[in-house]
Amino acid sequence: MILLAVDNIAKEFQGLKALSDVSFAVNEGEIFGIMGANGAGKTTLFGLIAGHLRPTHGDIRFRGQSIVGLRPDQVCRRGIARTFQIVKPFGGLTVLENLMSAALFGAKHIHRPALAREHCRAILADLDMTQLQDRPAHALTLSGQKKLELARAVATGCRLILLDEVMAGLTPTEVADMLEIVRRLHRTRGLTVLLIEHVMKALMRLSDRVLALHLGRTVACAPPAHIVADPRVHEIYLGESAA
Amino acid sequence: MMPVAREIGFWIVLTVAAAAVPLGAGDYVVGVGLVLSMWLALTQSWAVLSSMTGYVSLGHVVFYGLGSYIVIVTWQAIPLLAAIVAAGTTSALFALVVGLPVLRVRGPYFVILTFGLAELVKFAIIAFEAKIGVASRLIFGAPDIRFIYYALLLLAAAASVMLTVVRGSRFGHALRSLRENEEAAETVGIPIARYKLYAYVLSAVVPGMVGGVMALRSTYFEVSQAFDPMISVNIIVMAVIGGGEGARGPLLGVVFLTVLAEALWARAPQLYMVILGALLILFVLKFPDGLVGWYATRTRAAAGGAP
Repeated sequence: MILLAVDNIAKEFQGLKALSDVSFAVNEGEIFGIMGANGAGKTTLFGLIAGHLRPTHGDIRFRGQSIVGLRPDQVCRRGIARTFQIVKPFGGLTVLENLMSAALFGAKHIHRPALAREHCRAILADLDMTQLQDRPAHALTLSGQKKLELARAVATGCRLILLDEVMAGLTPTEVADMLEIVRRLHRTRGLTVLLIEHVMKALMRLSDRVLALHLGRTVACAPPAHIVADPRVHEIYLGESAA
Repeated sequence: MMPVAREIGFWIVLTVAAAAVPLGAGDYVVGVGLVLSMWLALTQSWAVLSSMTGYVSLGHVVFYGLGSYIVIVTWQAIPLLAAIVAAGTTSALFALVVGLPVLRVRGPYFVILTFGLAELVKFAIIAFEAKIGVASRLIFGAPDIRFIYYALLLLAAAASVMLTVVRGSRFGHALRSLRENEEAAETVGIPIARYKLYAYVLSAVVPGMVGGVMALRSTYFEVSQAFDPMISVNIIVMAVIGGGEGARGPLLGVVFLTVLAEALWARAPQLYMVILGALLILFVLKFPDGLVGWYATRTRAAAGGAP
């Protein structure tokens, strides 16, 4: 079943084409990777889906309904959560309070604080973050804040989660840890995952399918094995490293 | 979560105790108590917006002034109670109308904008008064000082309870989240524009009524006095010196500064302003969390805990 359908989406910033006619569909339960060099339009794509940006044209449908024109908070309540590449924790609040905001207002909309707290504690336990729950978010390490970003998105009770480079800047051990967490969340919580990642190995290992973007256009959309073998993808990446 | 019910109990007890004061005290003490209540009501209301959301208003006097003006204009034309309700409603409506555009800017821009807005309204009313040929208005038959005392006490209690309730609520959690990061708050499902507006409107109601009541404290009314920017400044200084996010911080700041003002006002009014400025600088630099924060650090140090 198709959960998210992106149809001929385009986004221009004052004449600059960040995305042109990109289409793809994500199935329920899938881990869908997005790759591309800087400026390929990956984060713009997330901004469009999450309601931070409005497409110049094209449509985005979630569970069959168009979500174009909704505000980010409305998109979130429909069941889409995102993380930010540059983490945006509620710095002065504790880790648990960070999650509480998401539980109280996200797609789950748990009005009773006691229930919301229980829901958040379970997520923190899932991510091995229980011992951090009363720490102010600004006091966490980068990998801690990246995990918090992920935990907070999950706490909204979303069905689709958009992960924007959750592994960037992490050490190899932390990347392995994060990989395992994403897998576990996908499995135990039945999440559909849309993943932007520069750590290629992680992307290829996690994803069921990968969309390769270049300068705002689709280069390929296929399972990782095909992407790796695709000469067009090679050309872009090798061309880049040669430049 | 903090025990909201117990906190409300604290305010009820305090209010009842303060209600007994006029029974045994003279006019001077009642007068000081009245001023305490006035500042407390204003500062707690301000905190609903500024402490909770981080949008620091330097123009809260605009609500006070509007409330004053409404009560003065309708004086002896409609019942006082109705006039006070109208004063609160007018301030709330004003906040509702200007809120959406004003709350689009953050940080220093918001501070300047609120200040400018208050001045704008002040001069608009002065111009209007001049046009209809009124320079200042005399007030005859104003209620007794004790009536004013009780009215302000009730408003102070209402504002304190409002801040306590907001702080412990789901709505308060949302305000705190958007204070920390608006984009993230929006992304986890918080309708930030609407909630900021609610906080702004809530923070305007009581100041409008306080202004309405305070207009009857003197025998004449002058627009520039009702919209005196020093009122906005005082509110901020009291909140900063009190510190913390709860309703008890402002109480400390208000008592501290009101007592200081009483001690100095008559003898050295200029000195009061100098001390006010010096205190603000001292607290911002040395005790950014105010008296509440300073006390918390001290108790923790005394317990031999944190470094």
